[in-house]
Amino acid sequence: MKTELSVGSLWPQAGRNLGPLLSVGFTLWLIAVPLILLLLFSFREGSPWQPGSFTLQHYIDAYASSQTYTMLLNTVVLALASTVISLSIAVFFAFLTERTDMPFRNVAWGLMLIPMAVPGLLFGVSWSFLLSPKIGLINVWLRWFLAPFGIEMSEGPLNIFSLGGMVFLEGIRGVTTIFLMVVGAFRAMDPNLEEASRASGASDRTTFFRIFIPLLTPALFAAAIYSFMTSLESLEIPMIIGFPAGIYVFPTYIYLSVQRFAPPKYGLSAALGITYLVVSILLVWWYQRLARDSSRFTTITGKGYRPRLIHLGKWRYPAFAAFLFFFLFTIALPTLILFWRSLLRFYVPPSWAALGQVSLKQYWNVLGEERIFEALINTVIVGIVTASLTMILSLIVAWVIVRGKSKGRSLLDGLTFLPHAIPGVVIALALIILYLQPPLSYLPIYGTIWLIAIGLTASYISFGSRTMNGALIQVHRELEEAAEVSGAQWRQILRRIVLPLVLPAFISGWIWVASHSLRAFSIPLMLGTRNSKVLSVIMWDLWEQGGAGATAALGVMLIVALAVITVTGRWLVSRLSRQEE
Amino acid sequence: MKKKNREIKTMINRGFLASVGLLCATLVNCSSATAAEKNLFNQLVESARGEMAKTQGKLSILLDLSAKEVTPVLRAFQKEFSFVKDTIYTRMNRTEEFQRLILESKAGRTPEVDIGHAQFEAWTELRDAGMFVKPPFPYQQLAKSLPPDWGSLDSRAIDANGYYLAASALIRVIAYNKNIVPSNKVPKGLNDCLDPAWRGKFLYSTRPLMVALQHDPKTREAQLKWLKGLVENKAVFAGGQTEGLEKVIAGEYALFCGVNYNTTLRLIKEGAPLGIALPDPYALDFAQRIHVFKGSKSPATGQLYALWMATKGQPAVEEYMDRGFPWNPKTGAFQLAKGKYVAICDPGCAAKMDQYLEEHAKLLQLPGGKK
Repeated sequence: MKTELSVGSLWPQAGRNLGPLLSVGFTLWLIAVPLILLLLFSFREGSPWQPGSFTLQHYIDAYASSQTYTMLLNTVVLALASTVISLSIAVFFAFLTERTDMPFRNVAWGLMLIPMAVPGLLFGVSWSFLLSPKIGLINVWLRWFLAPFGIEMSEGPLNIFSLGGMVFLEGIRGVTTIFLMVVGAFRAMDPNLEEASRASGASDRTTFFRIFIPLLTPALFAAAIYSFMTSLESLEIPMIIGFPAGIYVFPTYIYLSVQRFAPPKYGLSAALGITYLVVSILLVWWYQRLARDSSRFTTITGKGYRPRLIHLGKWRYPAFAAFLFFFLFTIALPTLILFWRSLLRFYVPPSWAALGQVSLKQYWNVLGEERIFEALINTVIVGIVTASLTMILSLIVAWVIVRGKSKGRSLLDGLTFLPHAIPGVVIALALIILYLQPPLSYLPIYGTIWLIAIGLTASYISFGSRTMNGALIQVHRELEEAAEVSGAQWRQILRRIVLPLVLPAFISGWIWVASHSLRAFSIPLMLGTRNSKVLSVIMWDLWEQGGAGATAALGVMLIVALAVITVTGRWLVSRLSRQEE
Repeated sequence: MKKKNREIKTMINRGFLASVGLLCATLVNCSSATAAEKNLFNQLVESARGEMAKTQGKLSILLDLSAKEVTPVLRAFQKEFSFVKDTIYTRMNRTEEFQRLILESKAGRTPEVDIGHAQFEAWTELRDAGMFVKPPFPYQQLAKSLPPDWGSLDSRAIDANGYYLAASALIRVIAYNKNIVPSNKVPKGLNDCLDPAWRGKFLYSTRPLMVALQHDPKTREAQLKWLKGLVENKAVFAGGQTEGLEKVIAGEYALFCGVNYNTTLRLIKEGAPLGIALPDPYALDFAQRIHVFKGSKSPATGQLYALWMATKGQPAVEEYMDRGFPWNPKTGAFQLAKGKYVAICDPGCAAKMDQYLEEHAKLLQLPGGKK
């Protein structure tokens, strides 16, 4: 009870709770500024730097057009279908890796993280080499396979440049994020409940649906909502795959209306952005209703826990084979085609004859690129700072939300989700405006990599807080109460009780944020200057000026580096978990 | 009678003398004007020298080209004017970056750029935000004072309001894959892109690169019809030019209609199996419209660079950027362009850019195109 009091009524004890208060304040400030700007843009004529009179015209333009509704439908189909794919695969693999005796589970865990290392641009590009109707490698193979059966085709049979192609790519791309969001919940399940179920004569199937799934509800909903919102705002796949086919979704509409067709329509873009906010608010409200009684999902108590592994018997190796197939098909094959592309000046499908054209020239070109090493150092610093800042803030904010009793915590919970619905361009614009004005202009931050880290933190706080909320809900407050009774301060409770218990989720979140920061594009592009360029911006430059070969070469190097980081991170998590046990 | 004749003679003599005097005075005036104009170029050089002495020879330039393309051209300029010791080059080619520049300026941060090019999509915004200042010497008069070995300055490249000088040309062509397109189907004009044989198999960049054809009254109607035809023949939209050309090279698409000549040529030089067809009429944009930026510490040096690039530096522009003016016999595009009608996006066209861009987006049914 004492714990509830200390974090629940923060204001009366402001001095004692200064740390959480400042953290919550900083987080709110990170979120509120772009939010207010987005709202203002949507109701003002002119541009952000020359705002005109107030108007509703942007909303009329946005919602009086039939094109908007076609795009809305495309967007909803894309978001829903890809969420179903991501969630189904991720839950299945999380179950296999955490709760079964599938062989090579540690390897599988590590492999699951590798997709995070593939930037969206490269993911789209590599799949276009595999599934383009005419030159796509898989299509070439399929045509070759079908020809003896009398099925002759000049192109196809598959076409990545379609809504189905976008759903497929978004779906498999989202698996890792969802996996990370739900895997902690699988690990932290109380085995007593399952044992009680089995002791009562329930079958594995019944136990799965009546014990497993209900226990996972908060994590599953958080992941599903996050995945849905991610697909709603995802830009890279719709730009690379949907745009050539003339299939537009909301993010492409917003991006194109500001960037591509002058005069830029900031107001229209903001009015559409508000739609995201409304959808986000509704989803968060729904989620909060579902997870209202969070104690129902508490599984980590002071009594000790160790989830029991389910024996797969003869399905052990087929289960791993399914895992391996997913990895090979969705990650290894695209990465290999990207590697093949990086060895050529111009793309030709892989063949013995084409081997004569192979060289490492693209790699030398990339390594000879001006400022590449400076950009590499910048990228690493941005990744580390963003991940650390995001996860520390997320832990504190999640602690306040989950443990607090104040009325404002639901609002805080909702607010932390909203940055996910704000386009990166708007977050960057807000920070530019803010840091160019006194008093913040006096800080030596503008134009440096630190501002990029702040921008990315604002963008990823949604993921961090979702992950930490999910993990904290499963930790019973009795442990913290015991510490509080023993006279521990909030810092000690957080550092010595809460953090060790949620460390796997914390590190998983850290890896996710770090790897996403390393490949983030729109915020570094806007906030970076000549001296604070990062690799993703250089990659885009290469793509525009040098074509796919140089981009693929840099991409392959980046994927290898990120894969090493993520697998090392996973090794660290598993070591920590073992120590904990 | 004699007296009258003498008076007439005297009047004629006086008139003659007056005419001669007037003529002489005019000639003297003319020669002094020529001298002044010649001095204008010298004054520009001297001003630039003075600026460089104050800034330790530093000139900051912003363009949309890659450093690989720009560096040799800048070196050639520095070789000509050795008082320019150090050129700091910034590449900027995305709308977001220009938007940031405006925000910085509004907040009182002077851009660390002396001169620069402005992306055409962002140009109106930049102009309205007061990012550009008039250069110290008028280009129209500088054109008359150039040294003989600098060649002449094309008057169409000079902004009527005196803000900028365009220093290179971008012409738009049809690029095709020579391995896919049979010889009897090699495109010659823009209407060949509308051939049903290429339905859904050709690319078109959604950046309105052929806006000159929308602007020129002689080509406008046909161009608007052609844009509608693109939608009917299911043009596949390409985001970037190199990206699109890579797809043509790989064989996914047969043609890329309205792509930059210089980008295509660069890939051909690297061994790409591409062919180039320059349509008649063809579109030309004056590129590298070099402005003096607000707060520039070296406006005269910047102006000198723009002037040099548009005239004496043209061989370097052609050699390293493939962006020389196609009416110059020394450019690679000269033979392709010979005898063909050129629609130019001149300063008048640039001033109406927003209108053309809006029209283009609407005709192609792109998001953001007003209904």
